[in-house]
Amino acid sequence: MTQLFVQSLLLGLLQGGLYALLAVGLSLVFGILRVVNFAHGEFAMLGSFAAVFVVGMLGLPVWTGLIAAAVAGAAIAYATNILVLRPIYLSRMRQKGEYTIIATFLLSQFLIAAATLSFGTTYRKLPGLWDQNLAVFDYIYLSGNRIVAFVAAIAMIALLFFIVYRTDIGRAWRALTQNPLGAAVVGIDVNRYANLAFLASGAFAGLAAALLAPLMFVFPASGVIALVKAFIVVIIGGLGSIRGTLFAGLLLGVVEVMGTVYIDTGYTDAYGFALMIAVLLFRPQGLFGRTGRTV
Amino acid sequence: MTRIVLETQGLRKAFGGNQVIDGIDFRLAAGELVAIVGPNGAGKTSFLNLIAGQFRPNAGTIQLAGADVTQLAPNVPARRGLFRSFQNGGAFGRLSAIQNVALAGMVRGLGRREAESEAGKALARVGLSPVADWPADHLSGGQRKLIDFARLLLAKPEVALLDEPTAGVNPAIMEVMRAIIAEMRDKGVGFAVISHDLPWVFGLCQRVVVLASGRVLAAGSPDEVSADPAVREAYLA
Amino acid sequence: MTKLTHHLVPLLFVAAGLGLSLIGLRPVVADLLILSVYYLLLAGSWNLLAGFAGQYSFAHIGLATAGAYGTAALVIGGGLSGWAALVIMPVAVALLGGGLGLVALRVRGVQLPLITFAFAGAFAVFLAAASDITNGSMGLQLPKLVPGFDRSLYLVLGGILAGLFFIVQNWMIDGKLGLLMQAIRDNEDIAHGMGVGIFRVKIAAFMITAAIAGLAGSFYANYVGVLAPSMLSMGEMGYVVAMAVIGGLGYRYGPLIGVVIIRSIEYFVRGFGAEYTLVIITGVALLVVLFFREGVIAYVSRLMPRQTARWRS
Ligand SMILES: Nc1ncnc2c1ncn2[C@@H]1O[C@H](COP(=O)(O)OP(=O)(O)O)[C@@H](O)[C@H]1O
Ligand SMILES: [Mg+2]
Repeated sequence: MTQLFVQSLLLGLLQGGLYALLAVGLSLVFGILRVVNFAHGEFAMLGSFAAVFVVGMLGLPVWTGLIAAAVAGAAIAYATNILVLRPIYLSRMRQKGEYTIIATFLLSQFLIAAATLSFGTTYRKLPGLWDQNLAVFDYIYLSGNRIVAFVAAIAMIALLFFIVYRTDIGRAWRALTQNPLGAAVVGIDVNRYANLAFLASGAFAGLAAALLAPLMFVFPASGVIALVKAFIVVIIGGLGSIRGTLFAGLLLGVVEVMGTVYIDTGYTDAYGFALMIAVLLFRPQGLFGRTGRTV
Repeated sequence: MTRIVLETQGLRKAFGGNQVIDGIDFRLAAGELVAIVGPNGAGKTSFLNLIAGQFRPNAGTIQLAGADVTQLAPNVPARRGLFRSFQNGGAFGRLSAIQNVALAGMVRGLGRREAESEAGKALARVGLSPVADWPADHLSGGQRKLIDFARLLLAKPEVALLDEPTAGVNPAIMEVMRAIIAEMRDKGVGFAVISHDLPWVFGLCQRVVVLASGRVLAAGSPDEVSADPAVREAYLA
Repeated sequence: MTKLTHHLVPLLFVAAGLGLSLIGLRPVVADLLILSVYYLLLAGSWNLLAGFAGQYSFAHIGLATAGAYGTAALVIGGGLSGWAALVIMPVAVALLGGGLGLVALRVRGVQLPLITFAFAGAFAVFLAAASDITNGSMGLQLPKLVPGFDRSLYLVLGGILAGLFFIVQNWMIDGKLGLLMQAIRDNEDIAHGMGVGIFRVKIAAFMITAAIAGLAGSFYANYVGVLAPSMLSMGEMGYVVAMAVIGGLGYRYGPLIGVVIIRSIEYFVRGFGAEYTLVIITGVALLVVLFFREGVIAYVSRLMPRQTARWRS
């Protein structure tokens, strides 16, 4: 009984760490620029394809695949910011929020179509860094790949916390969040810090996808599933809150695994959805979210 | 005996630790015009937001025409005869001027055609007929404030709360506004008008309420209030 | 355009449906037109919801899918005729839409697109997983409305449904509801403060547009005859959004123009294969959104300045 519980809890946390890593870039970008990026899932998808290419085709070691994924994710995120988003959020048009959503949504569809054309629809797999099952306390078994992925995810999120709260980049980001116009007036280069935020967001998404790849599959439409998970995480945690994203990611992982183990194995995705609905009913702005001034 | 159309008692509102409205008692009679003045950030707009239901008070009560409207959503007091204008203008950007005004009649129960024909007359009264079909986005700031006044004509309220109608508006338009307010006040509408243009608003009002830091600093006739040393220090000096 | 023209448009579609069914079109063209009606209903109702009411829901394709699978359930499971399903499903899906509307009342701004996207994603996963009900990717088979492969009936029906859509749309946009919806779109707080009942307007907008989506889904099921979970892919939603924004969101004939443009492109590039078609269409949609911002109608009417006010709804 306790054995099953502890095992589920650990498994849930391991899974949740990856959800958090997947979603944290989305939340960061929203926090700074008020942009919801519907192409975030495709940053992840293209990152995992980069890893498959480097490891599967070039035969390089697995860890180089992780770097390739982060670099590819960052590059495509950077290009997205420059080509698609910047012209919108720096413009004076009305309904910018909705407009960026439509533009990034169409971009995501374009990237999926382009990836399908270039890579085909075959499901690919990435070898793991540590393909072994480990026994913890003699009776709990966890896959080595999951542990590696979790440790990497937590390390990356810790790094992000450090950047946000301890460095000049983070200070500038926070100034932008609180008052974009004021920040521009006191000489903070909005473009530069927006680019940095997108680079970080894309790198995190790509890395998360590459860490997930040994556990799941790599295919052109995989970004949609990643985005659904990331959305559920940021809605639960509160859009724009990094703390909230970390907490909600872990919570989502635990709730999914617990539901699967104790309720019914067929509906893993439904539990996260139910959790999201519950949060919306009691705290529409998310667990760590704030409501803004309206009138 | 004049009828009280709006009354608040012990109204309080805080955002986080910031006590924005700190216990305001306020009464407005039918046909009375009260000027609400005070420094920026005093809580004037927040006070209107509380009355209109845009903010939920932490404490206190609000009576509109004798009925309690505390804690009700904004559309309820609006339908019971409360009109309010917004500090930054209340126009809907993509709707034409005439549609913007017609809405005020439609929420009162008029059909769309009837509301639009009344809106046409109201626009003529405020001098906006030439731009009746323009989207509000294309109007100037002053023209957008006149939309609020055309709406006021259609809404036929018992109580009207106007938030800085005169800010950034030229003298000719201020005169149009004055005439409409005076006419409706004389028909028995109770007005609370926020303005920083003291000569203009003092020329219209019977009573002045000075707010500072969420409290009533002074109240009385324009002369009494202008002579009050506390008011001079907090606001006028 | 005058009110009279708006009222003539539905008649035009009904007449066109009748006329085309009599000429005897090539099957490829007939299929293209009939399925275009499905997309017109979806893009048009999404335009009412997003472009006029400001509610950017990504669950719209999910509602159409619900209408299609509901039709299958009624026909296969309940033994009803496809005609009955065409009447029942809009009502049933309107209730689903009302549920979405309740969610929309709880949230602000960008949250609605996120939640509805997650909703559609979860529904898609469910459909794919519940293979005992949906028969998995093999799909569900439905009988045709009338036996045989005659497309003329569907051309007539398509013309009628398109006409019906424009009647409903005229009634909404030129009536009270349309103006209240647009007020909420432009500034919900001010609308609320003026006395607009946000609850009623939003629920009405969601229910009416959901009914149209349900009708579209039921029509699709009755026409195509095979249902697969891929009907609910985000790619399909992308298609609908592309059609609505290419013409111009918030314009009465925006979706019609979008459907014509996209379906024509599709027709002319179909020789390259499905993968290329998708890249070309999503690419074009993206370029239009990036460079023509408010869509083709706004762009063209800016070239003809005097027309602006009339083309606007
Ligand atoms: N929605 C809100 N959230 C937090 N603080 C608010 C909000 N609305 C107003 N305030 C605060 O209340 C105070 C009074 O503001 P306001 O009523 O707009 O003043 P006034 O209209 O007199 O200039 C200000 O300090 C303002 O920052
Ligand atoms: Mg103010």
